[in-house]
Amino acid sequence: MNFKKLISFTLFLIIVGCEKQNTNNENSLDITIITPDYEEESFYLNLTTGLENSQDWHVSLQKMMVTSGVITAPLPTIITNSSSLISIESNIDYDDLITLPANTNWLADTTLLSHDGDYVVLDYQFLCENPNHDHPPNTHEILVWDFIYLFKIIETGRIYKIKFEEYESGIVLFKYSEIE
Amino acid sequence: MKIKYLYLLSFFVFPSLLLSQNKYYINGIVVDSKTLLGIPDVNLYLPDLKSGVSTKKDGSFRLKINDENEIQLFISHIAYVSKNMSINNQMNKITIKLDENFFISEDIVVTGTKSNKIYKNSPIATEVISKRDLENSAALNIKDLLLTQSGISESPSVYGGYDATIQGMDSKNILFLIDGQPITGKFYNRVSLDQISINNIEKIEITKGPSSSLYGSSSMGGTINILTKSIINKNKIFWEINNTSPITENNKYTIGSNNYVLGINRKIGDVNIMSTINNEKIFSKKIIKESDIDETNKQTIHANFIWKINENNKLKFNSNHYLQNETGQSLLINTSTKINRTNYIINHKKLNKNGWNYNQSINYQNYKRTYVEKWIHNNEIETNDLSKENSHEYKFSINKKNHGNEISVGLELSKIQYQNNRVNESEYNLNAQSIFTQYDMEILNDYNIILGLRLDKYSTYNIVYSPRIAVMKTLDRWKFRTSIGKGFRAPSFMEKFLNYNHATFGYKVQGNENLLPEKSFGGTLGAEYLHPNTYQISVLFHYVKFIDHIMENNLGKINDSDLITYSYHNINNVYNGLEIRGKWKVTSTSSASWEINFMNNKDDDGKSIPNSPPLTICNGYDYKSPKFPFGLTINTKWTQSYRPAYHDIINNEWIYDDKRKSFMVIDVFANYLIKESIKINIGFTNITNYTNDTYGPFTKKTLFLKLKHEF
Repeated sequence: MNFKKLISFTLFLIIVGCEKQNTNNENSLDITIITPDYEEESFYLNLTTGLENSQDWHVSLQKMMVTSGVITAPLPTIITNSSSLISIESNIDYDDLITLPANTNWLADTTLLSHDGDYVVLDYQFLCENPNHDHPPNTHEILVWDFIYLFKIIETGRIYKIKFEEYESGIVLFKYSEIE
Repeated sequence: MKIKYLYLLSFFVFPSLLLSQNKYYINGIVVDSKTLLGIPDVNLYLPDLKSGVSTKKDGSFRLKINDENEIQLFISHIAYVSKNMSINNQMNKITIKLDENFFISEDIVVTGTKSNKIYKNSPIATEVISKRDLENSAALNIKDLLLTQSGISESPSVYGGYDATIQGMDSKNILFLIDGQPITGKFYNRVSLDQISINNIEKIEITKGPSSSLYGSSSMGGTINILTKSIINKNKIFWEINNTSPITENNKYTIGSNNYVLGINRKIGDVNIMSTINNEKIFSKKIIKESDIDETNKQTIHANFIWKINENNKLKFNSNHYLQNETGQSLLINTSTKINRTNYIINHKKLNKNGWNYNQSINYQNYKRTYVEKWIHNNEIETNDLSKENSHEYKFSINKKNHGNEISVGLELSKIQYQNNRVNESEYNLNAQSIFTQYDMEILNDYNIILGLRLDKYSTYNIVYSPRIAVMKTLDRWKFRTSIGKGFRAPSFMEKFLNYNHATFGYKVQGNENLLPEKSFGGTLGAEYLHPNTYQISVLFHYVKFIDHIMENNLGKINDSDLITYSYHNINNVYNGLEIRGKWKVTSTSSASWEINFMNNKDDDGKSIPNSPPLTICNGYDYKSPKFPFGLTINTKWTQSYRPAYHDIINNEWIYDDKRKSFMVIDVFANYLIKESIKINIGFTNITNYTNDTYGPFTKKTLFLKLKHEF
């Protein structure tokens, strides 16, 4: 083998891990990303290379000023761009999702995962106005929704599954891997 | 020949002798240990002979026994503590004393007057959570125990956590005492009730309405006094194991616990020593509301030393250490909270020949809380908060009792130091001086009256006057009680000085150094009827008006900051309600009790105060087997439909959520005395699995197991 490939892959993980550490992966193909604090810098990730790239990216963590009533809060939000299509899976475990489910409905909305989007990732419960959400309304806490997001890179047709796992004090942890 | 006659004689005589020796009678009477009155319908059962009798109307009995050996007698009555005793044919007439644990009329209460008083003579209406109630509960801490009572519920608080509200009132306006001593070290201005284990508790007394005339700051809407077990004059070792396990898992709030208690009582001459060690481990999965805690360890070491120096002098030393360690681990961050609480009290009581009692004590309390957040991926510390509180207090009082009248005069001097690393001037001192007097008199045989006044001077405030008057009229089996008084609470260190930012969420909290002490005025009016040995019913109306009530408030944007400033200010509001309580000895083996609680709390504009369920009803049913040391308890708590609310920090208003349907929580327990000294309790809480992730209850059906052994 591809020993070179193995070395390259290991190096790739190490490089990713320098900025965004690789933690307990149940599946060794999963790449775990720990973003920097969104208040210090925006974060742009290219899913194909696994590297930060603010010019060629698929998923991003950014600061977004949200106004509600008299308050303007600099909230963290996940943003996608038009280089990929998105689909949502909620009835299957992340680890069981190995191949693309039949009848996947691809959406081109880049605000789908953002604040007040239909499939918001980071939901500040206090400002949330989505009537379908049943979380406590008064909690000053950012909730991470338990969806699996499928990204289809339009240019290459490659498909990735992403699961956002945790938000803590400005930092987001998520894992992703390519599926067939 | 002689031998033949003897043989014949023995053949006829011995069996008759044996028969007469096998059967004998014991006459006796079963009496109440306090009133010494006979108790009817007490079950006396001989397990070895499978026979028994009940006492007559005057408490007397005649027991026929067909066994000359020493055998066990089991004595039980639903309203009394069961007893096991050995009997033999040497006993012709016996008197058996039983301790009542159902009606509290003859019990000593202390909270309403700060002195020992038989409840039937106390003008202050007092609700007692008795030892019996504590034993028939799955709660391991005071918070869980109180939540099973009517009128007490858990609600989302302004700061995003969850608090117990008592009669709809914030728990910061209720004074919590342990053995009459205020609890130091509060989190968000509130006593952490889940940090007080019920293992070492004898009973809990609750009085409604302001009592600052006795206790000073914080006793605005009521007083809850947690009374610990006192030393008994005997040598004893005891241990206890408690376990709660969730039966039905809930992804959000699964919680279980293991609790171990070891205690020793020792009497050496005139010295009594009592010590208990309590260790509790709470394991949880993504528990509790605002923070994810995986494991909590609590350790309590309690020691008591009492030396009766002579007939007139008694010295008491009490020491309590509490240590709590909470850890949480997620994929990103580890959190650790350590709470350390220490309390030493030295108390000296002296009885003078002229009838005056002198009582003085020195009290030291220390509280320290550290909270650390550490990133897993780079090991950097995100948060490292430290808050400390030290209090030194000296109390002196004298009192004299004379033919039902009692006068008390006292003073209290205290110094409290606060420290928090989030405050620039890291240390803040509060000095307080107080004097109080109380006159408790009995007039015209039927009236008991209490007059009280207390003056408190805090570092930066004017003197606060807190008067109180209470009257009780006795009319045959009726008691009519009323009390009117004032209460106050000095603003806390946090409310005055602590500033912090929630930049992410667009607001900051700012202390207000100009806050005034909040004050209350209110009282109670109640009637109680006691039918001896059968039933008791009481009605109590309570009213509290808050003046300059300290509430969180939105000040808008200050100095062009992006952040909303959130601070505290003084407003007025009113809390009132009605309670109806009843207890009924249905038979000698079963009893029922109920509490009906109405609330009608209004703010300045006449609007209802949020999260005050208008009606809650608690029911209890107890069964005690007449033949075996077995008991069964069913407790229910029903809450009427209401609209819960959460606080909108942006617009500073309460937003009412959808109407919540009425709901009931049911707990079932059984207890069995395996031997005289080994007791086992087993039960289920919340058997119908009713939960609500936003407003509670949070935990589904839970198995509860308690094993206690004394020797």
